[in-house]
Amino acid sequence: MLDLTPAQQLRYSAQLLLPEVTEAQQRQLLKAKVLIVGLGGLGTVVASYLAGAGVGHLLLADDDRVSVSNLPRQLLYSSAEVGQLKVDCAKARLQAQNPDIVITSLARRLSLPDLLALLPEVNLVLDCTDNTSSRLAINQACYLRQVPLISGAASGWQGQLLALKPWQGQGCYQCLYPDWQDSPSCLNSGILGPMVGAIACQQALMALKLLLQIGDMPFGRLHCFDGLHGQSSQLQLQQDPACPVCTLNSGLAASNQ
Amino acid sequence: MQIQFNQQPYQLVSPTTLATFLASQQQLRAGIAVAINQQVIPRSRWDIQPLKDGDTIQLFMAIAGG
Repeated sequence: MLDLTPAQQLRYSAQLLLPEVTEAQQRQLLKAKVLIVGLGGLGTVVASYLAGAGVGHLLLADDDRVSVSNLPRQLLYSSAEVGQLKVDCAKARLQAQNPDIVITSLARRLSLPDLLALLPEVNLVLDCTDNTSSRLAINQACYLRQVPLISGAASGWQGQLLALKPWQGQGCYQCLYPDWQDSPSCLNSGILGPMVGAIACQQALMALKLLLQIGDMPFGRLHCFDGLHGQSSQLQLQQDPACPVCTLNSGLAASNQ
Repeated sequence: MQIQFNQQPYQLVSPTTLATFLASQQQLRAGIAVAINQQVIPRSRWDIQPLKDGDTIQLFMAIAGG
C-alpha cells in the first residue's frame, strides 16, 4: 500500500495524533467506500465529517432539491442554491472541502433493487433518510448484502441512533418497528438544527470508528436521546422470531451453506 | 406489584402481560417499540410477556426524520 503523501500527513495530522489512529488506518479510511442515503440535516453533517476525515469514496444519494426552510440545519447549502439538487450542491461543497477524495452523486431515491446493486462494493451504509419506506429498504438491503448499517433519526426533540450487523442475530430495524408505516418527519414535527446535528455527529463518529476499527461498536443497541430534557438511554435490541426480514435472510443464509 | 412506565410509578393489582398493560394505558398502537429493563421486547412477545415487580417499561416511537 502507498504511503501517505506529505500533503495527506498534514491534512489528517490532527486525527493521526490520536494514539489509536495510525497511518495504515488512515490509508484504510482513504480506501473505504461509504453510501450516505439522504442529504438533509443528518446526511449533510455526516458527509462533511466523513469527507473531512478522508473517507476515500463517498456515494451521496438524495432526489430532493434545496429549499429555504432546509437552511437552518442543512449546513452544506447556501441561500443561492435554493432549487438546486442537494447531491450536486453537496458534492461541490465537499469536493472543495477535501479534493483528496472521490464523491459520486446519485440524484434519485434509491429503491431496494438500486441498493442491492450498489451494496456489494460498499463498506458501510449510513441511513440519513426522512421516510419509513427508505429505512425499511435500506435495512433489508444491508441485511441481504451483509453490509454494516448505521441508522440515525431525529424528529421533534427525539433522536435515535442504531448500528446494525443484523446477520449476526441481534435483530434488525424491522424487528424494532414491525408495523411501522409512517412517522413524523422534520416537516410536520418541527426540529431545531442542533438536535439533528447531535445525532449526525454521533453517527459520523460511529462511522469513523467502524472504518478505523477502533473503540467499541454498540451493534444492536438503540441509543435514544431526548434533547428537551437532555436525557439519553441505551436499549438492547432482540431478534423477533416473527420478523419477516430475519426469516427471509436466515432462510437465504441456510440455503447458501 | 409496582412497575415504572415512562418514568411514572404504577401499581398493578393482578398479574398482567405487556400487551394488556399497554392496552389499559391506551398505548397499543402502530409505530411504537417497548423496552423492559433496557431490553427491547419483540412485538410477537407482547401478548405473553409477563410484567414483574420492579420492571421499568419504556415506550418509544419510531421516528424517520433526517
